[in-house]
Amino acid sequence: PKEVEEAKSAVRNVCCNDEKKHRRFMHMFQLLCLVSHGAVRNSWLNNSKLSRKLNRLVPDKVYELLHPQKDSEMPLRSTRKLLDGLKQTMALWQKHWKVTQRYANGTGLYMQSWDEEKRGEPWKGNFLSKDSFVKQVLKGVGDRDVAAQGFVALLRSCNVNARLVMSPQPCDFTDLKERCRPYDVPYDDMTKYPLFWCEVWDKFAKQWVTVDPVGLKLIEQVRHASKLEPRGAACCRRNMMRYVVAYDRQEGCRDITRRYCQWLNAKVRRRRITKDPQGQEWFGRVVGALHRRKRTKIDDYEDEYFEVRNEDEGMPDNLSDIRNHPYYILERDLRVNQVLCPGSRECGYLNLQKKGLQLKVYLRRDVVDLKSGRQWYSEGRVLKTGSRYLKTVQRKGRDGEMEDERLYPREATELYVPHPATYPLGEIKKNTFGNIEVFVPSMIPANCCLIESPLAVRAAKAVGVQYAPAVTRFKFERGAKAKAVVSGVVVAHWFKDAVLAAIEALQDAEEDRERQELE
Amino acid sequence: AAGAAGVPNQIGLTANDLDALRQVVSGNPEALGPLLENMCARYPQLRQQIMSNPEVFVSMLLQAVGDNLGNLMGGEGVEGDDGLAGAAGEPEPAFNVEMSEEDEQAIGRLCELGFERSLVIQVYFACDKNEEIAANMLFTDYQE
Repeated sequence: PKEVEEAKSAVRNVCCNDEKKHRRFMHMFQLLCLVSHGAVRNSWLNNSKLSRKLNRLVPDKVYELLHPQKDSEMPLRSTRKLLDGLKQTMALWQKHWKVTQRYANGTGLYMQSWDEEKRGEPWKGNFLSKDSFVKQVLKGVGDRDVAAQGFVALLRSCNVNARLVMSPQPCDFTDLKERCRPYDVPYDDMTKYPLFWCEVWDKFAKQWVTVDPVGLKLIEQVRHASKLEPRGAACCRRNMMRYVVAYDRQEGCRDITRRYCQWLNAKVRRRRITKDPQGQEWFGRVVGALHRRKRTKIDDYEDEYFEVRNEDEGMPDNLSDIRNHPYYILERDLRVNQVLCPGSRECGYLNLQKKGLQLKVYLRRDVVDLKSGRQWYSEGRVLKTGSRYLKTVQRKGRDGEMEDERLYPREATELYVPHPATYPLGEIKKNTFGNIEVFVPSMIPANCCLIESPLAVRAAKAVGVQYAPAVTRFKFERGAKAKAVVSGVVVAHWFKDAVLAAIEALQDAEEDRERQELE
Repeated sequence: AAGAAGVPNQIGLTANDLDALRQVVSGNPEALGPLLENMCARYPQLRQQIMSNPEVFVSMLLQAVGDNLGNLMGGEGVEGDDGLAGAAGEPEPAFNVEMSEEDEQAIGRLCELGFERSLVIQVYFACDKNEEIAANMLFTDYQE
């Protein structure tokens, strides 16, 4: 019986819908504040006092290595020198950083469970100001995050194009358990992989070199996978790499998660707010607001690299990763109103060993969305003459019987251009019900305007001009068929002012009447 | 702090709350969790604003945080003290900067707007010597 009880509570341990929305929003709020934090710290690193004083730590010999001559015979030799210089600078920094403190609150910026986040105590201690930050870096005292940030300042003081890289850890909005126990992770496991590190531009190889000067103490040129991506259940619990953001010395800000997450599209994407289009747009705007410089050639090289990495990631080898994958789709996951564009072929196969099945996998960009003629019309488009349908589906017709409905791709349609009103009478072409349909602005005749008001029809009648009642949408009532909603009128634009004035007059009259009734 | 609490800004946070948020964001982001929860509860409109217009929020956060926030907060007790804003930092070193003729004049003009000189100087340098932004900030965040 005890087991049954536990199973029951495990089933019930799901938060309600409001809480789900709240978590999603808190995730966004935290993310916004954390990436802003990165930007603030990054701007602190450009402090003139820091660069003046840190510069002295670097002997000329190392400085020269950091700025190698271009070896036209073998560019690789220049890169080697740079890497050697970075290695030596890293050693210098490890000597300079005398005290690596533990995080004041125990977990630093590592991820918290929702329970920990809710039960958190307000901050009691001092706030780290810019001046104390600069002092700490110069003294070489502070936690590992400050140490990594200081290392970026050190490189910048040597005029190296160094970026501050941050992996923010907002709470996991995909964790929908009602009770999220505090994560039990030993300190060493938690801090094994860093949240802050550094990247240096290698102009010879035209790529960013990764340097983790504090945690793993490594330098790497990331090709297919990075050593900084957390591995192992214990390490991942508080360090869920989802957003990796880089800040450069010109205060540019870029999302560079692609470099560090091997399975960005297949797995990591699901835990990012960018998994749906609204979230994607939102995060793009946040990063855009923190990006304060013009695009450079370096951005182009990096985007090219990301493109290659996206290609390299390849097709997932299991069902769950292929669902909602941005690049791949199974034929059976196509929706009713989707087809594969004619002539497209499968790009691979997914083997399901358990069922002994082999499923064809297609590229998502080969998928075409289809709509019926009526659906296209409600978007202000009509079928071109002679266009062919790509698919038929069964729909309930007017008399309740199933009938075939033909579906067309967007290319088979063109913009609907309504007849203009006659001049000077302003006669407007109406449908069989004596209305004009205005589902999108382009459906208003070119020389007319839409006036939306519950009084519009009465006003137009009173003025005595030509008009057409405007159906702008349909109302779906239970059981009944769709009902047209007349929300205003369309009139020729030379009648617009007259109708607006009449509406105002009617409103005034109505208010007067109401007042009189009250009295 | 009643006076300061009454000053609304673009995102509708009181000056005290905004300062607290800025300090945590720049100095101690590990304390974000409880602070953000608290703010969500007290400002129901925040959700809509942050979802639909994150840029405004980002720029509010970064305004004046870039430089010398510590001085702004630690120094004059501009905001009075109520908890978070008052708990600001350790004592900061005396404010010591070189001023050019132009700076001197700009600061004079800002003082004429009716703000205390020491406050004007801090805000002016925090705004990277941009007179217009400094004036703006004085009016939005520090008008008693």
